[in-house]
Amino acid sequence: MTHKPAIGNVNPTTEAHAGHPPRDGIYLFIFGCLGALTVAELVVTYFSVVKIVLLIVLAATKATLVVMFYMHLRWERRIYPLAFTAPVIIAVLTALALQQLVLH
Amino acid sequence: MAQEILNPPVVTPPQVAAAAVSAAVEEQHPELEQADNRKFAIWLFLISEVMFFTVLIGAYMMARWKNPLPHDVLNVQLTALNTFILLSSSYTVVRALSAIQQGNRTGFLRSMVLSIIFGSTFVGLQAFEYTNLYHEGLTLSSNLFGATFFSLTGFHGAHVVIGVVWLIRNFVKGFNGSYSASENWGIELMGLYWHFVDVIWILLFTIIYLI
Repeated sequence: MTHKPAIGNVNPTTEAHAGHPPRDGIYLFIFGCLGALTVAELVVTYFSVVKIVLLIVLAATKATLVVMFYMHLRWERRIYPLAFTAPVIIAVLTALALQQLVLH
Repeated sequence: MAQEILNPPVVTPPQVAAAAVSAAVEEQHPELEQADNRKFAIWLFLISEVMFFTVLIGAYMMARWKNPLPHDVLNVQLTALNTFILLSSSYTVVRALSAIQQGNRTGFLRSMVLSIIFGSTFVGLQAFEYTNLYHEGLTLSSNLFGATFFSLTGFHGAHVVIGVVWLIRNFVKGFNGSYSASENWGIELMGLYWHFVDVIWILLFTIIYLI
């Protein structure tokens, strides 16, 4: 007897992705990148010049890699990146505004 | 009153109304076609979480800039190890999803167990760090920095605890055969939440411990 999933429980993402090879190699590569970037962050803390800028760039790169590859935003329909990017921009602007509030 | 009895208002069943709205939305916004409601809902939830953590990070930055932190209070090496553990858990969670999508149930269960171990270890090490900080005299009520530090990392830790509970629940469901190559929504939604918690920690590690 074959188990038939209930209507609405079949994951269309799975069906849509069924045609291409598994991404296990990509996931491992991204994991290596995340580890290397974390080590780079620890090294950068010993720098005195442009330390903060470099740390922010490295953290943003790590966060982007996770969102794009582990959360599959790179392969998602356009609506997901659009829905996620707009509030992230608002969040960054909010953080910058709060920082300005402190500095002045 | 008599008019209402003679001509009762026509009531559209909710299912018919919902289907009509769906059809109208898909016609006007084709990009929404086939966008699954559950996945879109969790993305919207994560977006609200972005704003939640932004405000907490903003409060932390205000406290930090006004009262420079003695960096020697925080254990950067231990937290770097904890960061690596959380990154590893993200990798095992995405491998769990990949395994179940390929119908590899053994690989899925193995990755789930590793994820639970990594997540629990992260929470344990954070509790260890909190204990040390309390002994050093940094508490939730000791100063503004303590209040914002514990609020920010504590809320993140609570998210990790919820994630670990979710992982355990899905592991049990998976063990009982609830997930398969075509039926794995629970794993995908849980994965989105878990990776998001990881993303937040990536930012917190840099802002709190390294800058």
